Amino acid sequence: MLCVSRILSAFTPIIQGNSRAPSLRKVPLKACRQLNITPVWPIHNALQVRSTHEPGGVIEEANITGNRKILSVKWRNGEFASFHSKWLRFNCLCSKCNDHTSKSWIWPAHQVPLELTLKSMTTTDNGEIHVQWNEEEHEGIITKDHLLQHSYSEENRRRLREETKLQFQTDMTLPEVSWLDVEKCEDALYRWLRNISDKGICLLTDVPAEHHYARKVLSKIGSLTGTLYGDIWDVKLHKNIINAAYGRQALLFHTDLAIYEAQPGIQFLHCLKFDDTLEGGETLFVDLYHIAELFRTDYPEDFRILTEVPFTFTRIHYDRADPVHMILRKPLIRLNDDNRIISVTWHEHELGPPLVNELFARAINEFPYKRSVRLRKGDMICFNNRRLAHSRNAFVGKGERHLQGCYVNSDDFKSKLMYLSHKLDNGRPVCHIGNTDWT
Amino acid sequence: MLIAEQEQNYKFYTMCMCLSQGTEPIAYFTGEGAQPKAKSVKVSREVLGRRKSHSMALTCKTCCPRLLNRCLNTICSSSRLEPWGSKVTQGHKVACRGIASLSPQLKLQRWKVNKADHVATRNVATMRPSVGSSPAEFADSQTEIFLDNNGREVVFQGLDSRELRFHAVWLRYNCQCSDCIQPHSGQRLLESCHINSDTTIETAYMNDRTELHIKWADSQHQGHVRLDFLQKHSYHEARELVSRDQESRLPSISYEEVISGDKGLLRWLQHINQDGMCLVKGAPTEMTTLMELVERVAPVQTTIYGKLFGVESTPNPINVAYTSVKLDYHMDLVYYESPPGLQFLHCIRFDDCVVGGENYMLNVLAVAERFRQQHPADFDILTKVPATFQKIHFARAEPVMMKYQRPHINLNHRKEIVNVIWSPQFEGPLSVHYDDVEPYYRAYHKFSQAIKNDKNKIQLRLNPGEILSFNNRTILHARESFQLNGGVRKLQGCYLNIDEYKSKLAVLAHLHGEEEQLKHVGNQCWF
Repeated sequence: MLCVSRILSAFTPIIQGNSRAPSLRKVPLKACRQLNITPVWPIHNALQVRSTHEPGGVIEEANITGNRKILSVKWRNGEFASFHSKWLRFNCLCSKCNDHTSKSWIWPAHQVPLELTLKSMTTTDNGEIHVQWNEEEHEGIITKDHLLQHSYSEENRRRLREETKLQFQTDMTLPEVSWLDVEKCEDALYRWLRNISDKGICLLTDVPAEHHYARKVLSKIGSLTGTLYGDIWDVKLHKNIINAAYGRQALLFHTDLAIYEAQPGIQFLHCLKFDDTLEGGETLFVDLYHIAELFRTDYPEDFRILTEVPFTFTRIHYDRADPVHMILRKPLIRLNDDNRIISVTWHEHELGPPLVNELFARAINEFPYKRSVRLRKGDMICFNNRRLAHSRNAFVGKGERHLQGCYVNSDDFKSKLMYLSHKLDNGRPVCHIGNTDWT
Repeated sequence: MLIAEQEQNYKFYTMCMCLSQGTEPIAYFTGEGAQPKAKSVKVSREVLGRRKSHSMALTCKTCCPRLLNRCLNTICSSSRLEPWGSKVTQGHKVACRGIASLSPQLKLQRWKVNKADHVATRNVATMRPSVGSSPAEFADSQTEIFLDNNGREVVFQGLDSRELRFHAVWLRYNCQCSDCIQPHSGQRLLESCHINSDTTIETAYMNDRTELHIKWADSQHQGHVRLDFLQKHSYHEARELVSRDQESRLPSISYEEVISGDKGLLRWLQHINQDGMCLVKGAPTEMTTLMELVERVAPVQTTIYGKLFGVESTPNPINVAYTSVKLDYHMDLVYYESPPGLQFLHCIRFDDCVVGGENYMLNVLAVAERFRQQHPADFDILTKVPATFQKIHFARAEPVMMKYQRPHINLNHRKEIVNVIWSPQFEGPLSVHYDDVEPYYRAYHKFSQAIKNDKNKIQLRLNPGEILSFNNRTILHARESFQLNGGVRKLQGCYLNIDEYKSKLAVLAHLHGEEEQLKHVGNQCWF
């Protein structure tokens, strides 16, 4: 008989105001299932924005400086932040500027004057800062929490970058979560999605091997992303091979459907059948981000070409029920203004600048850290199609290998994960998931 | 008169002739073949006239492949021969077969031509089209092909000396034989790590003027590339920069025409591609009409607002559109990596007593192009400094926490505008380098003024049964505030993915032989 108090004691540090959340791994999930409770952290008011900048979230000092164009703030922990007058205007949270129900900015952008200087600033006891500007008759309202969370000081931006940096693994263990836990427990759901986000991959076990059961699994995240292969597609031997995956041959490393502006985000392959009589057929994974970072170090000039010269991705196929004629040209690697990689795509069979193409192809094929997974019936391998390239060994023998695949959009996935992180993990930032976001 | 003798087995012939065009001597060449014959052979016109559809083979040898091609082309055009296969090899032997018919205008004379003359005659003005001027004319009988740079390049050359060059390695990557492309799906099977980037071509020839057949020297691989593919994907000539500037127009089409078949559907999608928008008139006002119509193109794109959304004033709106307030120019759902492509607004009800509620449309790519001319420095800032777009909303059935940063304007490697993102309603706190903040807001202010002051706006008040369809990636939309006065203003909306829309348009255009260059659709394609 599990002690309820032992479970609740895991929550106590939060209730006492220590905002550093204990590790979720310490919460006995089996206990949750037995007691039929969802370990939702009780501290959260969903509408409050939590800050990861701890401790010292309170403003100690605030002054108007810089020719009245800057609000300089000193936090209680001694750090400084500066906010431009124009920035404050566009972050006004008053009801004239911000529709509180739909959370949209409603003030016409073109009506904000070009030049804005701060006339006055007052702080209130309820955590608000009231601002007035010389050039406009407007009472601006901003909260201290808002300033804290959205500070664009170099320290804060550096901290955010560190927290959202991808961690590369060299041990090729495969994280596992059971569907039986995910189905009942939001904490397990969060852990499942965190693994996919942080490690790029997670094996979901104990999924009933029923047709289209994946739809039920994915309803925990959001809606399925349909593509030219439908909502859920079968990876098994087909007579009319509209895709090379529907055969027995080996598949080279690739990411799926680079012909879409937003490639499918998270891919799920649910194993319905994989007979022991079949030899081969393992699925392999490599981390393209890891490879790209090494490539950047070893071949900087070629890396630059991969970020500047567009590849051509095509799918032109008329001999199918719904003909497709898709062509997209984009570079393999995209960088943001900090030169951080924000998107990598790869398809062995697509067209790009030849020499560099060859080099990068070699880098991928010779990369030593490959995960190999032979799926079993009831397994569902879930991986970030924007970060991991996958391939398949050829398979021979008599027997059946039947997987069902589907996708969830990167943005929908990240939204769910960010919401759960906010709800369960004190808003711990979600690392970059490869959706060309410049964050 | 072209004099030749034919044999049924396409053996090569000895020929000795000089061709002329009018009174100008063009070339003279001799040939030798498997069975040397008399220096000149004759075949009567009548003989050939009775047997119109037979072929003859000509073999010619010359030291200059360009000249040889030119001669052959001249023979073919003058005698209305169609080269069935012309082979250019390093031994400069050329074989050409074709359907022959006599041209009485062709005269034969014996002339000697040296290199200097050959150069001069190449500049003789003719009525022949130049290389690459149109798909139909690409690689016609007047086009010469030859190898250059020790087999590293294939060159197509027209009579006006314009060239199209393709690298041997590029051709290898684009080989379309069944070993390199899976026949059924069209997917590439070629492994790029097995291709030698220093590959060279041993032989190349045109077959039927539809394909370029190639044999690569190092791998001895034999493959082919379609000529229309080369025409479309030629990279040798610098493409003119594409300006996105254009006038705004709202074409219309009847619902009956759109649902009448693929041709009507194509017409509708072409209007949207050309002008960014199109008004469908005369649709029923049933709640099922919109989805049935849109799914003729592609499956409806699902977003956080579901598949179909109703646009009418509601008490607790999850979106500011579900109110009666004025909506400034914006695009929808820009916090998605791939915001909705096409948007459709079906007017179900718009009572006469409702005051206001007009829609406004504006082509933002055109505005951005004009902005670039007038404020280049500010334009540059908007391509480099990322704005924040977000939707953070928990008080809804499915809580949403979406945040995305990207610049407002995106360029490709040629500095052409690829897409513009503009949605002030869904902007979040700017998070950029300290020194970028003021320049950004300055540029932002000017661009918002440019949108406000642009004269190319389209205004319309929808009527029941009308479906406003537009490209959410190139067209900004806005709405006047409205007062219901006891009436109802009800629209129904949905979206289509931009790539799937473009695919359907390309498929229909191809199937109906209307394969013009599609206009850029505002997605992140760099072309």
